[in-house]
Amino acid sequence: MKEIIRAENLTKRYDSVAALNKVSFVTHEKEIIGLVGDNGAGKSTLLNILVGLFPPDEGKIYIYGKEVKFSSPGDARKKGIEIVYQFENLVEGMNIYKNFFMGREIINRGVLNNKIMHKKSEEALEKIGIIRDSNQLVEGLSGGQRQAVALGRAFYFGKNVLLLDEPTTGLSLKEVDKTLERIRLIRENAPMSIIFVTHNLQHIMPIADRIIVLYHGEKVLDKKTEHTDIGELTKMITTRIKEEEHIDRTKYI
Amino acid sequence: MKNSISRKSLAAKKLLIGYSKDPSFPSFVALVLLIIINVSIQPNFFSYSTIKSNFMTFTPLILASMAQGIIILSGSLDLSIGAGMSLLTCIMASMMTDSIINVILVVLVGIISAAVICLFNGSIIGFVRIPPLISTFATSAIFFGLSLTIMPLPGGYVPKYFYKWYRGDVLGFIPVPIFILLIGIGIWLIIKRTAAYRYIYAVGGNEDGAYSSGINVARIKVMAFLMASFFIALGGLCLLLSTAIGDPRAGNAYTLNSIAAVVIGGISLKGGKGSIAGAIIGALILGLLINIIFFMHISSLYQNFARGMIIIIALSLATIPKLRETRDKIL
Repeated sequence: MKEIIRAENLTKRYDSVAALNKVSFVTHEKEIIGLVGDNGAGKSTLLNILVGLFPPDEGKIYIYGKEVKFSSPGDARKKGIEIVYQFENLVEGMNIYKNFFMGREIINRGVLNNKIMHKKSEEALEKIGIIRDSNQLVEGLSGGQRQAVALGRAFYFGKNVLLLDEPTTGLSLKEVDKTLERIRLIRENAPMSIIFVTHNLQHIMPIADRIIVLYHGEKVLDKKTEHTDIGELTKMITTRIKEEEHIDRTKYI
Repeated sequence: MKNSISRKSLAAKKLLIGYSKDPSFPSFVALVLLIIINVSIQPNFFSYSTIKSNFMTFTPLILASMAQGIIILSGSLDLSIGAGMSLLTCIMASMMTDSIINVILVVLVGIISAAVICLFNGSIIGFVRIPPLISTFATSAIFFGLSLTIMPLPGGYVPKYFYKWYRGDVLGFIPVPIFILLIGIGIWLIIKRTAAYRYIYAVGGNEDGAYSSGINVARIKVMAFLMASFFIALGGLCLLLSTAIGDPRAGNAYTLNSIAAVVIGGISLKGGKGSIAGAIIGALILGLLINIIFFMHISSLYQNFARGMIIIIALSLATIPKLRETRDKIL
């Protein structure tokens, strides 16, 4: 599998507090990475850096081996990085297709081509199992349906990396299953890396290929899913033990 | 034949059902009711001369409401629209002479002045990030001060042929105020097909979402004011032509009336929801309401009271589609 992102020593400080401290990791094509950690672990800071909301104080990001720097979310989007937020970034008063193409409208001779956008958005949503009239207003959709639209949009436009910020939070059990299924479909249909941020280990374990744990801004674990379990992850999330130290410590248990 | 008629009636029914969910639908119903009341107290309501005289009064407010509507859709607010329109009447009336070329050039100066006024307002809100309520309140004082500097008392000069033109027709059957309004609507129909106009809804509806979608939020806020400047310029011109003088206080009433029209027309004061068609309907409602008060010989002192009441009623009616939607979700 080809390497997509290589992050080296990403650091972000707020005054004297390091929200992210020398975090390095790599992601590969068609790989789902579970990014877990408690509140304040640095997950959001890492996502915000990757999505171009602010730059790191130190460290470098490479995409397919080429160093990239983002000064705005628009920059990150141009590099094929898409994000789906926990509280989705859709505009309620607009219909699905307008939201779908927000910021990337199809324009012919200076005029919006609504017909083509309508058609293309429905085709893209259908690919990941969402059959819906994209003329419908977003305000009439349930949380799961909105999440589905945001996922469909990220899938359509994301070339390299898809960032999912707590995509299953606040959804019903049925909607969680559907969302996880859609994420699997995206992996099957696109050669991108998916970074899935969550608090819920039950949701991430069946779907992730690899798990990264952050604790107080530091990476404390980076393992293939089959080499870890919920018990170990819970300990890593709640206790300040680095991966190697943790292995050592098991001798005394 | 029968089939095509039933298909047409089905399509009309669908259109009506679709429109009934639009935020401007309750105000549309109110407009129809007000037209019926107006017809009953003013039998020649649909006569050519009455329509023309009504639109001479309504057009500046309709144009101001279209401008306010675009600004409010972007999540801002403009408390300086009235002062801006007054300033435009002062600028234009202080420069006009009898020459046609001069009149054309002065109208162009008016359009450019409106753009500068709006660029100033938009930049303070978009780039300096001062809340619109405070910044446009401050700029309204600046514009009023400028108007007084140009013209301490109402006056200036508007050539007779020019203000008489406003009372005439285009092509022999379109009253000039309606013609100017049609130009405004034409401009709106063009800009509503642009991406920038769509971004105005996005920024007003979900500023963070718009930013994370790669939209330059500050630039779009400025753009909303610039788009509104077309309508403010046309509104200022109509005001000048209807009064035939420059007056630093001529536009005062348009600030709150335009906000009222926008609210009545179903545009959300939070931004992002509603349509300019609603703002036009809202302005017509306010105009017809004033007509009713006039023809029923009710003291003009009650105009503000009536206007306040109708805003409350319109806002209450505007919640109906929302309540219906919530009920549908629960059921």
